[in-house]
Amino acid sequence: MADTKEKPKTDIVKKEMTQSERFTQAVIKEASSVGDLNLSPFQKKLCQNYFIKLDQQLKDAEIKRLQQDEKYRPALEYKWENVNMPALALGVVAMASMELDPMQPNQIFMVPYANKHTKKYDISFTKGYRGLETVAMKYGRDIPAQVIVELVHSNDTFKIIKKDMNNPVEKYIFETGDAFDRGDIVGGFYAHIYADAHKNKVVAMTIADIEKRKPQKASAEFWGGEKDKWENGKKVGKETIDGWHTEMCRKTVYRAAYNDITIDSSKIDANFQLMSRIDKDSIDISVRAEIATNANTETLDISHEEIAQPEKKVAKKAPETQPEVQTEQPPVGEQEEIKF
Amino acid sequence: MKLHCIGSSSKGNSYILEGKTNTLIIECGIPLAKVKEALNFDLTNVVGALVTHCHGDHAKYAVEYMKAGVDIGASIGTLDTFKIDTTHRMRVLKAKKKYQFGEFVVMPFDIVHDAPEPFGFLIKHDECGLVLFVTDTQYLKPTFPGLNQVIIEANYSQKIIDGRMDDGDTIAFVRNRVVQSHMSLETCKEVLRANDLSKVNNILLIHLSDGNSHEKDFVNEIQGMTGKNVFAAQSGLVIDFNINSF
Repeated sequence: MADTKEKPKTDIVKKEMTQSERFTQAVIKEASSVGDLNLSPFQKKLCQNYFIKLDQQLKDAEIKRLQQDEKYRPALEYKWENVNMPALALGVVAMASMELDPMQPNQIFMVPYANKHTKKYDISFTKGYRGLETVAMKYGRDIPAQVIVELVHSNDTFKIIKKDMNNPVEKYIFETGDAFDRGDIVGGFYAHIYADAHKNKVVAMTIADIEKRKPQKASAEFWGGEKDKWENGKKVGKETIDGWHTEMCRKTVYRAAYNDITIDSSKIDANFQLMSRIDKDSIDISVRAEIATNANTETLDISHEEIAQPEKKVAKKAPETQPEVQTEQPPVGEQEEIKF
Repeated sequence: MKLHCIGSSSKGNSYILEGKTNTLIIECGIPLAKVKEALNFDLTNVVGALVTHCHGDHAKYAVEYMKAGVDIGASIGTLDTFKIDTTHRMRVLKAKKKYQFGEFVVMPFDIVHDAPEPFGFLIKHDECGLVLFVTDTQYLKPTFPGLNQVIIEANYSQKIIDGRMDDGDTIAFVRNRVVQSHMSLETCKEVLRANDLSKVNNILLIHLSDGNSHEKDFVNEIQGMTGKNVFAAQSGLVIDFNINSF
């Protein structure tokens, strides 16, 4: 006899994975070549954030690419098919394992660089100052209870009181005076403050020290300075813009403060090693791309120029002016009495 | 023309182009006494010294040179870092402009290094022809027609520096800085490939890193590639540097 009983219908509906979940799955599969990946649910969530962030970056970059004049437009489209996925997977796993979140400001930045040989975009990962803080706090040997970072302006008062035989604790005096008229930035400092105050450390950086850390290709949009001026799609000269110089100086001192926390060798694990490898690869990606784009691209012919006269260097400091001599005599009757 | 290499490393750099009547010094990273020694204690023919950038191994002794009466030509970014504000011996040079130092014609150009306004130099003289001098740069943007001599940095080999990093012989910070601000052997080869070397007599490889290069291999590779006279710079090296190779 045929079984006429109807099978009970189930209400289970297969849940479709989101794009970011599929990305995470693909990343974990791709990156498993480096060993067992035991990503926590939080780290997996971060992998999804890398997808969301990069997806948006690619879309924005593609819009900009299409806005460029066809003559100068890079040939390689910004789309997922053109991304070097095996390398990206390793990078995402490495940075997510370190719990660096691309959706949080100044944690970690991704930049796509076109690789002329593979015709793919290599994605570089650069830690922001908050990212350096995250790594230092996790892997540092002697982690300060507090890290203080300040810029010093010309009207501020700043003095470091160094540790010595009479002063067991390193400290500083810092007063801003008029908070709304602090003058130009003359430097900055960071202080590592420990529960055991004897370990306290204060480091001053001059503005030259800060500027020295400015990236070689620092954008005028951020650091201020000259940038090309465009009108109707044509370069018409240079313009000077303010940028965010103060903010960039502050971030530079932050970076120095967290870079100055020594990593504890005994804490170095597979995640840290993978991150170091991605750091190195990211630098190589940017160097390779810059060389491929810019090297040997123009001609400099010595025979074409007229001889110029070298300029004499002008003194940076203006010569000290003599105090003004008061020649005007006070009105008669208001002259001070001369006493003998 | 003779080329003297007084020093060519992160410990100090200095080179001399010694002509029959005029002499040009390049870099002031070595005490003047060593330069005097190479010139038989006679500085009367010295028409000036060029400095590529402000780092100590290239510019540490510039003030000493000026005090001895040597004019220094460099970018304003370099001159601004000197420990004296200004002297009449400082010559402010601008990229892509041509200047006369005695019989030498000099044209500075921008390079890529972590210093304010670093320069490479094209140097022309009847005796040696057109010389390219470049050190401490990630790469070169221009190419240069009509070269007769090349003095170029070949700081590290990608393979060696990466191998040392994997072996734990160098730390990431140092490795990454080198890669971002010095020229690899691989990039050096690209520069040589991009330029017309048909009239080049000598190629001097300079600023080889102690740990990240292999002198013999570097010379052999460049010699094999170019078929030119190739030397690796070392203190005390003197070579004939003439427009004609005979």
